[in-house]
Amino acid sequence: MFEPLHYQFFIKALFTSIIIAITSSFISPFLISKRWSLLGDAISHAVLPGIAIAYILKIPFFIGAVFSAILTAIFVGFIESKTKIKGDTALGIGLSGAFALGVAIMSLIRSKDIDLYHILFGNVLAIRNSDIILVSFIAVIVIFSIALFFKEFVLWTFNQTLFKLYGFPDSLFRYFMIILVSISVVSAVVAVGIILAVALLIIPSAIGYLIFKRISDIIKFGILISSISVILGLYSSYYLNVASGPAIVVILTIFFILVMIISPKEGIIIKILRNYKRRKMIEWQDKLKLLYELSENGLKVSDIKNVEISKFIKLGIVEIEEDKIKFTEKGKVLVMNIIKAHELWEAYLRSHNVAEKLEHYTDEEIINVLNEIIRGR
Amino acid sequence: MKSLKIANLTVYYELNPILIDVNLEFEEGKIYGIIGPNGAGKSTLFKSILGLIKAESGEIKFFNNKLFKEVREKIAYVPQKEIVDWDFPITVFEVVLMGRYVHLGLLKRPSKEDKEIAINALKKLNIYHLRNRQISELSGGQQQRVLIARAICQNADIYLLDEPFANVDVLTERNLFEIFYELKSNNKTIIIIDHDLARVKNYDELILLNRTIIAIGKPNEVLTNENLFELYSEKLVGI
Repeated sequence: MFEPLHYQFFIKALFTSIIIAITSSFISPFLISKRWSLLGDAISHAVLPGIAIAYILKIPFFIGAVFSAILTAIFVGFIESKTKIKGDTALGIGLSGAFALGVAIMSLIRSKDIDLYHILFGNVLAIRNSDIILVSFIAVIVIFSIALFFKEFVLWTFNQTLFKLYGFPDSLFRYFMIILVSISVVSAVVAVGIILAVALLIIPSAIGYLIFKRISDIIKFGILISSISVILGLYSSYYLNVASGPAIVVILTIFFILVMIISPKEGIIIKILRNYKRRKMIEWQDKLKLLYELSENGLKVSDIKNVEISKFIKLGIVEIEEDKIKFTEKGKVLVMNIIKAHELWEAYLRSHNVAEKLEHYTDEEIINVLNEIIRGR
Repeated sequence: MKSLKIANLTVYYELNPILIDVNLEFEEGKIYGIIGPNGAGKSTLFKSILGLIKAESGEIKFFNNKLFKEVREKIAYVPQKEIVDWDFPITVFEVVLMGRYVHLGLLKRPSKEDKEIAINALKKLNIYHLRNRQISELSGGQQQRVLIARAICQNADIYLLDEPFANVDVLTERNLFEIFYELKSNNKTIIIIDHDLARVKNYDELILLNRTIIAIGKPNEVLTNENLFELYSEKLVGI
């Protein structure tokens, strides 16, 4: 368990990846809610021409990469606002255009110092000290900005019209967000490669989106789940000898699939359970109605075979008097609600069969509305 | 007193005139209904009032000759329900509380008082019990109540509501009118875009709009056959 921690490369990888995971968790709920997930993808590919040009000009890769990333983001925004082309298509144009330009320039200069494979897939286990400083510095800027302008970013992402009407600077925040996304993605790409950078930007919040109902909770959960994935991924990489970046991404994806199945909000299992409960409720209500009809006809307990009366007695819905079934006050209220719902639906829709179905889904509010409509006729 | 004055407003979309020489005056303590066919420029009129669209010509002034940006906190806008992202991860309470943001400006967080105002708005719209629900879990009528609660929470003087009765049930509709009447008695101006002629009797003044003002006045005076024919004639020709 502690063996890998004796190696400096392992500790560096762990530290850097967790910092990137935290930074990404602050940005990504906004990207997902704004349907900008592809922006991170586009930006991560747009670093390529910047890196190539930075190599030619002999300036740090990061500066070239941020420059071309922001330029691409602005280009995409320009296409979106000035033409009929929608955001996803515009991102596709920016992404493939910038990436191809980068590959083209690289093939021209044929440098041995830039390894395309390294940029694409990264190598978490070969992180340099300069990467760690860069990633940490960007983390401070991003986290501080989001925390400070949290209220504004939530409103801006939720409803831009309202943001403008309330007098907040709309385009300023648009560029603010683009710059935050750009610097965090670019620093992540330079350190750990495109695939891990993009995965950390999208998947943790996508998981949170299935469970939580507020952005702040999705951020907290994103930090937790992505840090766990980083740790699990790096350990499995160490012991099983798998590539570290992809290992982390695969684990994140497994978490996503698991949550999709068991999420209390939208999970598949909860839906099956809900369906089962609904069926049971309908069955139960139908039995209740049947029992009521029978008791109105003065039937004896001994005549009834296919309804378990003991259950209804236990719940205080019926009583037995001299071998006859009698509904209690509580029982009457329950059964009358169903009967009333049925009558109203039948009066409204003039269909017994439909009323037979809808009576099970009719709460007090719907009864009131139906009453209102029928009286108004 | 006049709360809103629109003079000679003309708005183009690309080369098409959407609004042509619109002149309107709105008074405090009245409920206005705006009706007209699809594409008549009803929503465009609201967006022009709110400065979201640039007008070709004309003037829009609030209260005593003020511009929108000078009085923005006094003007509440309830957009059509369809343009809100109902899948957004946010609770009912948080959306309603956003009504206070216009008073807060940059960086300031909502205070305890702001939160109390939001809670009162929730109670007024009968959605207090839903306050911790995510907005994706609401029915159509409940969503409409949330948007109106947010406007009420803003505590504005002019309310612009775009189709607030679309897809809401009878009880919600009645409940909303009760709230509008209460706002009216507090001297607010309420302007409602509607599509249903059956409701027009509820308005103090009715505005028939089809790119330009066809008629304005008391509902029963304005709803003549001639006016209605003019209002919908393009449609009739289309048939």
